[in-house]
Amino acid sequence: MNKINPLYILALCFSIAIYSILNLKTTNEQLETIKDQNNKYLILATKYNSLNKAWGDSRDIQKVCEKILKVSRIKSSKITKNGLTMKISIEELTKKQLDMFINKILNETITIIRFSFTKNSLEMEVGL
Amino acid sequence: MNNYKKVFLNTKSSFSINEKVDIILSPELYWVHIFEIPLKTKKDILNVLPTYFEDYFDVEGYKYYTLKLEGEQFLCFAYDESLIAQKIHDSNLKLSQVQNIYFAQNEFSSLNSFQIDEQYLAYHDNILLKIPKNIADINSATHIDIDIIELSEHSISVNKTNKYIDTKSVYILSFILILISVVNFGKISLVNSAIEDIKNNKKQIKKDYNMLPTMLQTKSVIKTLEKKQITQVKLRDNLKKSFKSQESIRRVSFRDGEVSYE
Repeated sequence: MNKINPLYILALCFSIAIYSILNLKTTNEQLETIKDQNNKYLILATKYNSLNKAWGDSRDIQKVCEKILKVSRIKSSKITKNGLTMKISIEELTKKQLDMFINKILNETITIIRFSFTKNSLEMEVGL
Repeated sequence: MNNYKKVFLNTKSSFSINEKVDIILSPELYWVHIFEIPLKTKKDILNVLPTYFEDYFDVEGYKYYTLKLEGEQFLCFAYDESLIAQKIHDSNLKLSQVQNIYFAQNEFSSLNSFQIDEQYLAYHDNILLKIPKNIADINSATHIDIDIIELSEHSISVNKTNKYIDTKSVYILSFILILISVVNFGKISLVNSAIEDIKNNKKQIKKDYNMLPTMLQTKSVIKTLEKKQITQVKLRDNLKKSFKSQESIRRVSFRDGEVSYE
């Protein structure tokens, strides 16, 4: 029986080694690409999540507004919902109540559509 | 069994053959001796043969072959692989042409004395010897046609790799390369596992951050919300500036992104 030439075995081993090195290189490149994509996706997800929490439709805007009215000790207010918007009308406001309400409402991430006030009254329309 | 062309190789042989050949070595190209060795396995015998032959010549670089005769008697061969390879080369043959190499000792045992390629050979005490032409019995020596010889099963091979690297080194190198390959394939497996983990992590991020099904939708929503944020921040800035600059305002209104004062 003829023996296999050892050089053929060496060539085969060499080919396998080269294949494994190239394959490892490609797989490492894939890993780096996927890591990079994942990092970008995480940044996008964080951005989406924070924007959605702040300006999205996930919060109960009516509750937020009622809370501000309560904190500002405003009793004579009227809240009307109209589809995707909500209208708040306040009469007989003191200067202190007005300042407090405006300060609070402007610091909330509420979508203000219309906003007008005088020294003792306020009307605003916000998005829901 | 393959019937390759048979050639008798001695120190002065010269051929012009391109096909594959089986080589029968002249007694000039090997040492042969019958030893009594109290060992049973061929492997053990091959291990001790250098000590038996070293009484006759410097055994450095020799390889060995053995055949069991009777009892503890063994027909033992010692050959210099590089010398045989050199003679094959000198005879205009290529190592790649050579299929099997046989010792003349085992191939002509049915004959007592014979002539082959101007060489006279004869068995003496069961050992085939080359007889000098001047003392050979030329008349009784049969001229042998080598092609009709039925070859035995006792063949050797020579290193066909090359003179710069021996077979052992080739196997060591092959082993190292296989080891490197195994380590690399192990690493590939780990990296693939890490890739799978990252893919699963992405799914988890999607779930945890309540992401929309497609990136297109997500990017579109982000764009809308960013626009909304810019408008609302601008509104708040404008209002704050207005409060600082206007000392007495009767009415402030905001509509469609514009602030007006009365």
